[in-house]
Amino acid sequence: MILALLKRRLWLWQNRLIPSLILLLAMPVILFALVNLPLKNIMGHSLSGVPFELWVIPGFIFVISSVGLFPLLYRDFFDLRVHQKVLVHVALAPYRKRMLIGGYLIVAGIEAMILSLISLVIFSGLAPFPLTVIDTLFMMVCLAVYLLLLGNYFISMGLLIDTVTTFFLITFITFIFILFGNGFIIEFGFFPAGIENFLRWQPLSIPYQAFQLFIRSGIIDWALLFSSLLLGLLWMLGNTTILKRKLRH
Amino acid sequence: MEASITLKKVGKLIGDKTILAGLTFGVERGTLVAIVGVNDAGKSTLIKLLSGFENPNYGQVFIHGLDMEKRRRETRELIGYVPHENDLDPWLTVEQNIRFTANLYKVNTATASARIVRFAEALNLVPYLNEIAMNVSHGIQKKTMLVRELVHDPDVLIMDEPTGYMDAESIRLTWDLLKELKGNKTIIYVSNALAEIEQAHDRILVFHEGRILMDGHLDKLLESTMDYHQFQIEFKNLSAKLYKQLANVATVVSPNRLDNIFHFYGRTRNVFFDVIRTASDELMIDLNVKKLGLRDLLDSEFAGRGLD
Repeated sequence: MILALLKRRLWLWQNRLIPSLILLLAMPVILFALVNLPLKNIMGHSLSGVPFELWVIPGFIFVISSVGLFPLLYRDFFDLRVHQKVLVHVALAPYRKRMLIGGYLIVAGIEAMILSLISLVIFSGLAPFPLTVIDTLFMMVCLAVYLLLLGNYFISMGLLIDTVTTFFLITFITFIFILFGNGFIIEFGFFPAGIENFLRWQPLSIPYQAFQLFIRSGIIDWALLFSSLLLGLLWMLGNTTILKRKLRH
Repeated sequence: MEASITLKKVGKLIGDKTILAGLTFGVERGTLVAIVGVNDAGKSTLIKLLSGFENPNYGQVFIHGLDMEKRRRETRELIGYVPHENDLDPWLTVEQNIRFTANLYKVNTATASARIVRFAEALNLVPYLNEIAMNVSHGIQKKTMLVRELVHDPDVLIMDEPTGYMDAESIRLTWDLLKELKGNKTIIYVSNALAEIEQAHDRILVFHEGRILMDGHLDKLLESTMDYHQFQIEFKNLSAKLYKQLANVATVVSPNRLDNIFHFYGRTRNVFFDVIRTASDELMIDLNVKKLGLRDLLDSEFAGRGLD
């Protein structure tokens, strides 16, 4: 199943190569020019003393991977589902629903990781890359956990919403939240205490906090990572149930 | 003959409404079975249950003896389902859509390629293989959906309006292919194209309000009405008195009128002469005699009460 979904994504990229490539290249450049360049003049360091670029470039990678995760899950679990295409056909293939959700998460995750690696290369060309190899490897581990959680969120959203307007409003709010509510660009310490506490404990921000802790102190908080991983797996089971109900299987 | 599909007291409810009411029947392997009925009769729901698209509220469906609910994965490998509406990925090409299914069902590349060539040639689909699915006509999309299912070589092929949106040539090619496949595959389909059904079936299930009203080969279904013929006589002037006279002819069944046309059924052709004799003094403009067919069977009055 994973191979079939991967090949399909490759074909879709191939069929729309030029617009996809333009978007792929434009996104990191726009984020760098419109967010990094002005904000680094305002916030030289985070509240905990981390240089802004060391804070924000990995944040950009997380943001770009969030965008990279979206198309496959949006297409199959919302757009094509509400138009009764593809998802039902895939669901009739001889696989468990759990496997189907897992397969989609893995394929969307691989796509997002590839996009994040390409952006990482682009950022390295635009400014000196602030992370060591070990930092980068650990970032990819945290990114994978984050993508598991976000992918499940996108799937839940795609399955539970049936109207286009509602879906796009929620998507818009979600991306504002991804940009500003996960600590990718603005450190939680800048928020009032109540909001800060909420943001710190909301599941999507935890993998990035684990990463920030590592680059600040070299400490790996396995408890944070494993609890996020566990939540992601439980959420996957929840999505399996939602999918069964939606498809009346 | 061995059963390919077996339904045991299968029921489906939507809200409080009964869509299928305790259906029990079997379909033999390698047969071509048509399901017909008026709109909302439960045909498409039955097709969805057979394909695994939906589960019944009660009862069991068996495919090759395997319970569809308990042996879900195995039974799904045996089934190919072609829905009524296009469900292709709009941004993949026709061939990519087919290959995607081949990959999902783990058909190796060489086998998939051979099957694509065979079925695409049979359906005259080759010139469209590299077209983006949303850019081709609905008829081509429908043929693509059929090849997409055939590429994983299912034992049971379930189709909702198999020739929907197709032109005459495509309809002919599709039925040629399906008749060729019959025997190796059990084919069960829903259609409103009665002329096509009359030409392509081993068995017809006539559905009405979630139940099977009639079941058998067309000849068998018409057996009880084989002797019936449908007559129409157009008069210059069909007066009320004349209509009453004709309607009272003992052998005339279900008489009715439309302007100056007298319409009736009769068990033998002789009924026609009885009517002609009764109306011999009147000026007749046109005559029409027809043996009953599937369309007449499906007429709601006919299906509900019978001619008598």
